[in-house]
Amino acid sequence: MSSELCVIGCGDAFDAIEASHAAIDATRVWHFIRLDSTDEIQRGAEQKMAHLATSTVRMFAAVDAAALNHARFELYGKLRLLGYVGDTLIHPGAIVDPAAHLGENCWVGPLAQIGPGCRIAANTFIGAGARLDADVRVGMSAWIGAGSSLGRGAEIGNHSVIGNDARVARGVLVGRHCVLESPVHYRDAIADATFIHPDFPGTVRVYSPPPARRAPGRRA
Amino acid sequence: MRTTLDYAAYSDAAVFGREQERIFRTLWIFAGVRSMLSWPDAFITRSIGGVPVLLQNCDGIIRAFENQCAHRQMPIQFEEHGTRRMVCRYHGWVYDEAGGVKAIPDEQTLYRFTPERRAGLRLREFAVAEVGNLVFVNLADDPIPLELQFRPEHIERMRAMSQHFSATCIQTVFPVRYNWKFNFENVVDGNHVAYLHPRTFAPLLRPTTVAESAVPAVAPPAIDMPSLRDATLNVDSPYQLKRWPWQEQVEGFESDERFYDFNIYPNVNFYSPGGKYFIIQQFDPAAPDLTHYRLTLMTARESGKIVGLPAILWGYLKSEKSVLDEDIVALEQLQASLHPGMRAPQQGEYEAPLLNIAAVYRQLMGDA
Repeated sequence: MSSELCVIGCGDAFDAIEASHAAIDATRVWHFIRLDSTDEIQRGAEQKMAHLATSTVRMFAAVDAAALNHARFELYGKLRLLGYVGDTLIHPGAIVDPAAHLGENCWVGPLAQIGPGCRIAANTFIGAGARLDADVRVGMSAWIGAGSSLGRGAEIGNHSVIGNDARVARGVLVGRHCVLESPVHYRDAIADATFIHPDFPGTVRVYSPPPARRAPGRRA
Repeated sequence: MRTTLDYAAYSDAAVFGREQERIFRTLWIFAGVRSMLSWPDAFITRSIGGVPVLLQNCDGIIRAFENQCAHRQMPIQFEEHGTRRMVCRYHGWVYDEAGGVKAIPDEQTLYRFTPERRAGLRLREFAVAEVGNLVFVNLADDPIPLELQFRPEHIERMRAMSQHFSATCIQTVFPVRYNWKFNFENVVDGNHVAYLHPRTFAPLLRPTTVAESAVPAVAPPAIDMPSLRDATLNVDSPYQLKRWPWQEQVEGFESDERFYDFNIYPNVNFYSPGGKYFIIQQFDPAAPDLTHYRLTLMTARESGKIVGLPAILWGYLKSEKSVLDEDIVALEQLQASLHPGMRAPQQGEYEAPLLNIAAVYRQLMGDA
């Protein structure tokens, strides 16, 4: 592993990592590049790392769940295309079972627990005190809020946001691009692009035409 | 001529019942977005004038039926939106694309309908009119011509605007505790923007005084006997669109420096900030003091792939809702303050469109 790491971003996750970086790994050389806001990502924030060589420095894109994690995904993607390799950071107070697998650019906050057999795809952030029971699957660029819990075998789709203190029951499937911000117990499957938020008394859904079926015998 | 509405119009159950019959089961009512019905067997369910309505793509044609099986009145479709053939879940009756009963399980052994009764088994069908991507339904046995309700130039402009819709939209429905008419009057009255939305919506309207934008360039005067067509309004205003990269990936409607607004009588506000995205607010009457607020939002149609479109739609919807909440707080207070002895409103010249709408309402209700 490279001994140098550059954390670039803004927001709560960035602050938490900066505050605890010595406890995470005191042996590394840490660089921190704080952005004013996520707007900077579109204005070429990746150029702020130009003085750091891709061969010797790893990167970590630390941006909160803005735009269903697309802001973090965009920054992470830009840095990856420049040749930087992402790291995954686990707070020393978190418990991650050795049989769990985490992709790169993942963050596991303090007191979070990740059970055996969990598979967490790249660029997913898991907040403080969140609990993932065994065999949970979380897609790419997701956000698991502080204090939330995912029951055994639950699956969370790409870019979804599980809000603080929300509870997803055992085996429940949550689609892609979902927001479950109300801190309640979700016992039923949640379709893609469903938004449940305290500001909206009813469910919010994105509707789009089904994908076109391919002609039989033809490859995409 | 009485020009404003009284306490009963906003709070009386009997008046509400007459509205359902004389307005919502008589006029063309916006029922959904065509792009949500664009594939085989796509459907939307709604309640219009107290009637459960099913809009279904039947071999490419959008048809409207009463959402009740001819057998035992079970809804044919349960969900608000989906893709499913017209098959009753209760006893398996299957309907064809014209609403006729196509097949009944065990028909010969259990039902034994005579040929005459069998021929008459069908769903009740309603008239449908498509204006671009806007689908209207009329529940009347003998619907009025669409052109009697809307001016031809308004129909053409609604068609042109809505043809710019993306096929992907975000939608929600939530209850608000006031009469549906308060919301329609509120969107017609642009002068409230400076006072209820000083930090949210008002700064985006380009004129330095919001009152300037509240009045169309040619303000419609109060008319002694306005026609139904005078109740639908189209006002475009200068607008300061906040730019985002996704806007380069859509084919917007006309100028991105205008705010396009249609108040579609009786219960829709259809608008587009800068022609880049579109919002449809609909105020569905549920009770005299309860309205179901239906909010639909979509970008203009894509010319290229928009990365993270659900996130963009969700962001705009949250932003719209935060503005609407400023209206909702005020209108719920207004509803709660109503009482039988209240005085008539004192309305001024700029409110001529509101007076016309009130007069049209009275005509429709038979009170003129």
